[in-house]
Amino acid sequence: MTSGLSGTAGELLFAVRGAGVRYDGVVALEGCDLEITAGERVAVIGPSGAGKSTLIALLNGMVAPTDGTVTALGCDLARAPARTARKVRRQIGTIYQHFDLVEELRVVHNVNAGRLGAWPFWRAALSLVRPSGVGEVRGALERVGIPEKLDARTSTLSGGQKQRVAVAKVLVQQPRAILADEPIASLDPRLGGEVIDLLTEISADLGTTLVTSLHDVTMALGRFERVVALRAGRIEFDRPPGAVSSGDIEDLYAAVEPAS
Amino acid sequence: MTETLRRQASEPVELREAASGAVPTASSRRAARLWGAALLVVVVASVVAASWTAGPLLRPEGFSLVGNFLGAALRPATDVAFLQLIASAAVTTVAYAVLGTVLSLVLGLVGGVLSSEVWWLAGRHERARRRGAAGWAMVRGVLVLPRAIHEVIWGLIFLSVLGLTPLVAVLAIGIPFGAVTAKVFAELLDETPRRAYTAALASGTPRLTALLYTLMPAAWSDLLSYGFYRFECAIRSAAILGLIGAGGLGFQLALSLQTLNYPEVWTALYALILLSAATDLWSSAVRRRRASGAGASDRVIGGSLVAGAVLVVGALWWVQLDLAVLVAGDTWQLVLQILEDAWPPGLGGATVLGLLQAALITVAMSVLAIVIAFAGASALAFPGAAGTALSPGRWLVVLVTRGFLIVLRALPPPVWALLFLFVMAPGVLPGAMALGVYTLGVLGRLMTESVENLDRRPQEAMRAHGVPRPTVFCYAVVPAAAPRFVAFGLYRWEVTIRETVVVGVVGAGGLGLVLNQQLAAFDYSAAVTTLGVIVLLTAMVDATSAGVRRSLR
Amino acid sequence: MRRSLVAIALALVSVLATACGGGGGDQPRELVISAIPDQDPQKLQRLYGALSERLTRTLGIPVRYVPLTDYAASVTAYRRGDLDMVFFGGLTGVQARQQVPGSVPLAQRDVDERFRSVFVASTASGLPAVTDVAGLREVGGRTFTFGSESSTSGRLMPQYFLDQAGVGPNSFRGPSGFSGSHDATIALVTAGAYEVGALNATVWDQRLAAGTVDLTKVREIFRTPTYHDYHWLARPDIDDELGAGTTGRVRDALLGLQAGDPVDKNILDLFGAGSFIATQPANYDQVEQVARSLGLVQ
Ligand SMILES: Nc1ncnc2c1ncn2[C@@H]1O[C@H](COP(=O)(O)OP(=O)(O)O)[C@@H](O)[C@H]1O
Ligand SMILES: [Mg+2]
Repeated sequence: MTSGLSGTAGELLFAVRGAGVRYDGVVALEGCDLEITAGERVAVIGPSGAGKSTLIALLNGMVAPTDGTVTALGCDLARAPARTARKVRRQIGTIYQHFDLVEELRVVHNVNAGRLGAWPFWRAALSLVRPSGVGEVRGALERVGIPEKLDARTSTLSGGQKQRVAVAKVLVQQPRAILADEPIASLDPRLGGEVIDLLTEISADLGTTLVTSLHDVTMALGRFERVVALRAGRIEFDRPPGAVSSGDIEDLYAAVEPAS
Repeated sequence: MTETLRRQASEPVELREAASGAVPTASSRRAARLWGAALLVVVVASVVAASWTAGPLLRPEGFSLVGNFLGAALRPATDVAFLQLIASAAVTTVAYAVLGTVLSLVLGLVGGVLSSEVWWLAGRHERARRRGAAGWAMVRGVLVLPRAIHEVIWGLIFLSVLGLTPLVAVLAIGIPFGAVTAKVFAELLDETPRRAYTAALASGTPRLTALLYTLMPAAWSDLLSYGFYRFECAIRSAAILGLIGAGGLGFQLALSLQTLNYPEVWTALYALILLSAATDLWSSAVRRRRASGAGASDRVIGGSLVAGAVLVVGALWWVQLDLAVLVAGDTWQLVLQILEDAWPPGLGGATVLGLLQAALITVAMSVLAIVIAFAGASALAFPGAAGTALSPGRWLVVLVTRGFLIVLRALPPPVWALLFLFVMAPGVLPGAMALGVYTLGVLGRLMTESVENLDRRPQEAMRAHGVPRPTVFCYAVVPAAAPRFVAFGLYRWEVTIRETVVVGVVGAGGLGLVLNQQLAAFDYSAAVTTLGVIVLLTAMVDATSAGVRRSLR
Repeated sequence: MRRSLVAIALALVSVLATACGGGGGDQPRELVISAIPDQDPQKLQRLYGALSERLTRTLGIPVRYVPLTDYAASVTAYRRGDLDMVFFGGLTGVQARQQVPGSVPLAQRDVDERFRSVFVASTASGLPAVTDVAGLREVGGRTFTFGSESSTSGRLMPQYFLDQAGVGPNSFRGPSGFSGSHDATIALVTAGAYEVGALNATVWDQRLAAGTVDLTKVREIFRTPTYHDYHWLARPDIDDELGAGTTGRVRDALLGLQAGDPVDKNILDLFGAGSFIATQPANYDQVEQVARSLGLVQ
């Protein structure tokens, strides 16, 4: 694993300016301003429906803002030509709550899926018959602690193991930023802690930027250097964990007052 | 207002997405109800249309003629010369089926990707989606044409261009089947959960690669079982194509049927049944192995791959396929000549009103046929599905059900039409029964397999909680199977529209009758008009089917 | 496993390549023939070797028989030149001659000179026997089935005589059926599915003689006047392709089949003929007129 891709600290990786997202009239995000620089480790918290997933999707360009702009690695993914957008996305690894692995494939292919963006189609197709780059896959699986699962069918893995495969998949992608949308929501607290530790370690070791949305506030406050709080589509606060009071958290998760 | 917003917002969006891949909204539920009501109206209208008959609905005295036919099943023609004839005809039929299937799978794979919604729409932004929607609609539109036209008609078209060459049968099977495979494959891809696919796109993976790694593996076992199914269809289709010079079982069957030589008919039918059953068994064996996670190194699967390759090579040798005719000098000239004959489309002896009436009759017949087939097949799919660790009694039920379904689909629709006409008044109904019973055999097979392919984990989880079997069936099996059933039913509805062409004997009128008249008169320009109407009907059924399925998703 | 897959793929490619390149050899031109007989077609279509061997022997050129049962397919193949000579029905012969102008009717069977159709009715219909064409008006308002769409005796001529009696295509109760074959017509009228049907008189007589008709349920009500039906039709370019005089020699070979000779007798039996006799285009003028008036010939 090289760290050459992580870039210089302080470089602006993500810039969200006055961004809003509406789905068929439902406001998911509005008026969001956010800058994330290289090497930062950011937790995004907030109640269900606050817009965390939408924010993550804005950052990797899977959702286009209906208002404002979002740039990732200097590129406006919503407006860039498909080819450019794809090139930028290759440098952003995303992990989802449901792992988004293909159950029918062997683990090695699911890990390799992380770098398919860099492969021509024929190589990707051939790799399904004869896996290529097995060395790096094994390295990544060792890093996440399940090297013995290389050839296992993914459907046979446990939830925790699947999430590790998802992490290994991002590792072989060698991205400049890792985005994770509630990566531990379907794991038990101990396993969840392990996965978050793994992600923060990787981020620290490789200097990769990490943006994770989390349900678990303690985890966010304990292991990240910056906490962004969302509520009803707006950024409520954005500060280091030390500056977050328990009152802030209570307000954040309090029921929304009915409008008068 | 805010209250409802909040309640919506507090429902974790991931859960909803995980369940279906898209978020069902109030409007899509309303759409589902609207589609349901519209379909009900169509069915009722079809029943009304069919209730017009010349004479009493049922004629018991005709049963003795049906009895003659069925009785002959016990004494098929078995003289050596005839058996030899049938054996070599069976090989010919298999050879055409193999080559036609290979062609259709290749076309279907490419066309399937290009006509899938995920390919054009998933993971795209609003702006690109509009362009994607246009591309999607175009490909789908183009693919309706080869699907809407019956294999026999394709056979005649290729015959006029390429002449008496085995390639005619291969293309006549491969092209329409390729388009059908493309449609089914596209729907399989669209039905597969998309999260992994969009996740791959999010990390900059090119579309085709993402498809290969995420949707294909999930759709693969369905595609495999579909490939086998297609092969079985190709056998039956090769049988029908025998009529136009391809030889094979269909030719022998048609000859014997012309003189109603039932013992000979049965010998040919037994050969068809045997081929169908063998394909069925082979396909189940391969699917079972794959379900247990076996790959190409498995004995059954590896052996099947080799057997498939041997079949292809053997088929090429047996029919002496000569591709040179495709590039022969006069081929294109002949294409032009045919286009000239057919253009501009005319009406021949028909009138616009007459065509419209014929179209309504065709629709009514196809609707009734599919209703009959759907009801019967859904009922038989569950007893016909083999699970793991079956008791001997249960095995017997599986075998009997499967055998019954095979017989239903081995008898070609014209044979069924004749049998129903022995006991029913001429009109829409015997035609619908004939197509319905035949389609029941086909749908039953598809549904049985889809029940077998169901994810068993939810059922097992319920069983583990002590939920009684009937309840598990209602809560875990039926809801999981229903969308697939509906998809298969809608797909087969389209096929029945095309098949109405071959049951002219029932005296119901309809587009099939009109088309046969025009072909008998070599009035190509009029035939083009009728085919155009059939294509239009097919496109309408296609659109309806897409709408229904979208509202269910 | 993987290696064997590659090997298979290679084998496939090479076979395809030979299949593509293999055609176009310079074999001697053969005479390609076909037939769509009316009675017991399966016999001829399965035992056609006798005919092609016999003709090969007499003509000294290879003769190949292509079994086809679809009228449209055989006309199409004939038009393309894939078939040189075909035993067509009256209607299909006229259609083929129209699509390949200059085609020569070579010979007909003895029976084809005085061909007839019969109308049969179910006894339950209560229809009385009819004495002349005009009497066919009784059929109006009944359910009715023809045989195959392209059949002369099962469709064209019956429709013509019905027309003469004032019974148009829409004068039946419900649309007319197309049973597909003469035997199916008998069966459907026997079953009562249709009250009346029309078919080839030769087939009817044969089935009567064989005792396979249930006369308590179906009976003949009318026998039409005679017309010309089946005949051998040859493409005009045979002489150019196979040598001058070939057409004449083929005609002589057909006319020369002798009922006294066991081999020839066998062939004549396959066609349901006592002998082949000469014919001429004018014999089919009536059929052509009728076909034209019914829109079956443009
Ligand atoms: N695809 C979608 N279509 C319509 N509404 C959506 C969609 N995705 C999210 N929403 C809505 O947007 C809001 C924010 O959702 P989300 O970003 O998933 O929140 P979180 O991840 O914080 O739970 C919610 O009200 C949700 O219902
Ligand atoms: Mg979320």
